[in-house]
Amino acid sequence: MDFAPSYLIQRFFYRIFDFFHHWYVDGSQFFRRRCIGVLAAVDRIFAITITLRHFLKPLYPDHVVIGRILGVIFRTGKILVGAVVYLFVALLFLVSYLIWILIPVATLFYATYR
Amino acid sequence: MPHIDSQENVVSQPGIDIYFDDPRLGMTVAGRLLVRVVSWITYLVVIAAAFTLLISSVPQLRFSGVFLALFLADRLAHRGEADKPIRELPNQGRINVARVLQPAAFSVLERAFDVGLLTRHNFFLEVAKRLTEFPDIEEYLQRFDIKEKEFKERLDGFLTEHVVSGAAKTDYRTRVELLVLTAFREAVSAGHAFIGVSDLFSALVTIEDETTRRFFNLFSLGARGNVFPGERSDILKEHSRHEN
Repeated sequence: MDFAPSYLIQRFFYRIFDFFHHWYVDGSQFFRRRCIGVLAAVDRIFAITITLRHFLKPLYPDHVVIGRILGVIFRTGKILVGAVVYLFVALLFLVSYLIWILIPVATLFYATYR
Repeated sequence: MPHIDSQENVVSQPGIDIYFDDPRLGMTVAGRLLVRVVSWITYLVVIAAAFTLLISSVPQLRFSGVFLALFLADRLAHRGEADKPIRELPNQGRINVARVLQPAAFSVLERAFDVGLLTRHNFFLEVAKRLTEFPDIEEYLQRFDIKEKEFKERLDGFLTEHVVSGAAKTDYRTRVELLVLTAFREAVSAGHAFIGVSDLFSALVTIEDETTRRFFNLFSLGARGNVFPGERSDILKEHSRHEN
């Protein structure tokens, strides 16, 4: 391997491998981290898990019947809106990620077969 | 990433064999020059090809140009980085730290290696001389009230006074390995992603070499210990606080 031409050939193939490693492995990690980060930020607003845990409890500890009914209504609304936002964010990331992983494959496919 | 105690020698960890081996140091000067020239020519050809293909009217060629442009964008995004970051190194087995050495740091070693072989200068001091060309190191010297001019003059004096007679190429390679392994330990303890020029300088301050130690003791750097990574972290923290 201490021979310049063999080193250059090895580095040539390594650079190609390195590109795909950056694109797919590092790229996937980036998307995963960003997606978790954004979902965590959304959760700080909607707090679906906590809302589910306190689903039947009244709002602002107002332990009368109307308070309990309103609590369930408001919490249902919060959960529904939160779920839609969660789903939208998750879908957005999924679509972006699919486009990301398809870019090199698609360019190579169109460059070769189209 | 290997867990390394900063007090221990990196090569003596159980179940882990850390070594440094870069094929370029086994080549002749002409071989290394060929590698550099061919690499740059290849990049220039790829840039020209990408540009030409992108403006082509044939869709297939245009897509080839897009792929080459993506490749070049990736190279640009990772410019100056080593093959992989330290955190991606395995926890056990044989680990070649050449994979985590930044190109700038390798360039310093390569030049010091070539000059050292020709002039028979002390390799570590030759590396120190190359490192003073970097702004990070200049800043470091200023922070310790060390006059850069005086540092360089004394360094030149030490280099000419301490010529290593009869040193073979393998001796220089052993010194490169010792320096990089020490720099690796410095980089790990400082939490750096790669072994950079600052880690090489930190390693020089603590390296087991009588002449180098005497030189750094002239400026009380050896006595101060290695504070460069910590200092740098403080600068970065200060910088991020201002940004926020």
